[in-house]
Amino acid sequence: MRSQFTTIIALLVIGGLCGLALTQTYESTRQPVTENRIRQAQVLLSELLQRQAPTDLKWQQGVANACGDWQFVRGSSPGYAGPIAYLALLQNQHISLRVTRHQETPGIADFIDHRKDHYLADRDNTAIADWAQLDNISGATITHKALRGMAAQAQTQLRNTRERYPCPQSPGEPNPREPNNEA
Amino acid sequence: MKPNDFTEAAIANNPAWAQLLGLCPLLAVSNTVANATGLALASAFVVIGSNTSISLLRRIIPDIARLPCFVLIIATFTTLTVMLLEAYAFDLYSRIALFVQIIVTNCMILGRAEVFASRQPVGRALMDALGTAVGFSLALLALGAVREVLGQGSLMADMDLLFGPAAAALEVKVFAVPPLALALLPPGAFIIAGLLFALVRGLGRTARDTRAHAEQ
Repeated sequence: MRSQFTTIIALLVIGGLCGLALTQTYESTRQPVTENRIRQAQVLLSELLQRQAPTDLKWQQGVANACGDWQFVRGSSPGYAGPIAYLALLQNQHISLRVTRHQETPGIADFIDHRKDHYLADRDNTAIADWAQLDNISGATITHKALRGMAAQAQTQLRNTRERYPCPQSPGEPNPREPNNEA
Repeated sequence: MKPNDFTEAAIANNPAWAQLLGLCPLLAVSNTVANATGLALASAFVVIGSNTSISLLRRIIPDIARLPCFVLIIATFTTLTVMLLEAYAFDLYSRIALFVQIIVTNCMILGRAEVFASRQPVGRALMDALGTAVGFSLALLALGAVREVLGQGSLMADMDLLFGPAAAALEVKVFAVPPLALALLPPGAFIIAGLLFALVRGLGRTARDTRAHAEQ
């Protein structure tokens, strides 16, 4: 009984020390980590838009600039090893896409990582109708299926957002339903 | 504190070429010297931190739960490394994050904790951790240098990701056209690692034979 009590106390001490180290480091690195993530996101948005992306984008249900000439849509699609998060630029029925996070098999699914492969960059500004017809990638069927489904999913997400937050009839007219700012 | 704990861990019992431990990150991240240096520093931080902590806590770590405790401590240091890399070396973190996160499963680190750090005083555990870190770094950097020269034609490219803009000047262009692109790919990693390990073992055997000859 006494040895069990000692074991529990020892485990609590070790767990507490580990937790303390983690929370203190988290607190001290939170600011630079947040800044790095924002900088990376801004670089990605600008790369897709091929010009400096606005820094004050308002995201509603994962969609930014829903009433503009172009829209950013972020979402996720089920892949082979978990959800594949993506960012899409929709512009005049054309799509450019980047995968922002995934857990697919390294090596086999590297083609979806724009930092390792030009596969997605080479397909920038593809007509949405053609996106679903992309040739399959041998050995990465499920990953590629997820990729092909992203265009339709992004369009649906944009449509739903516009239904929920209708666009103003003319420039300058206030939105009928003021959205919450998710950004 | 014994200095031979250091040389034992770094050379004679080198985790990579003598024990063939930690080969997954070793092969995956050694495609350039910059990546190899990043992983070497991250692994060194984890092995030194965890070995020292385990040695300090060895009297209160319950024997029946020692492995979960070791894994908890190693996971803590791995997570600290991930946070620090993401905060202060973000570009490098983006390239090697996956392999930094799996340091927690590196049997080299768990092995040193179980075999050495949990049974020795802090000084010896620290020397052993330093030796293990240096040994693993030597293997990583040697493999990274050969693969980068053969596969990319350069040496020490992208060092600015680790050490700031001034380190960009360290890059040396060895070949205008890379002579063996295969070196950057996983099969190339296996082949070059095999040849390097064979070379190191061969040199070790020759040195032993020469010593034995001299003693006779």
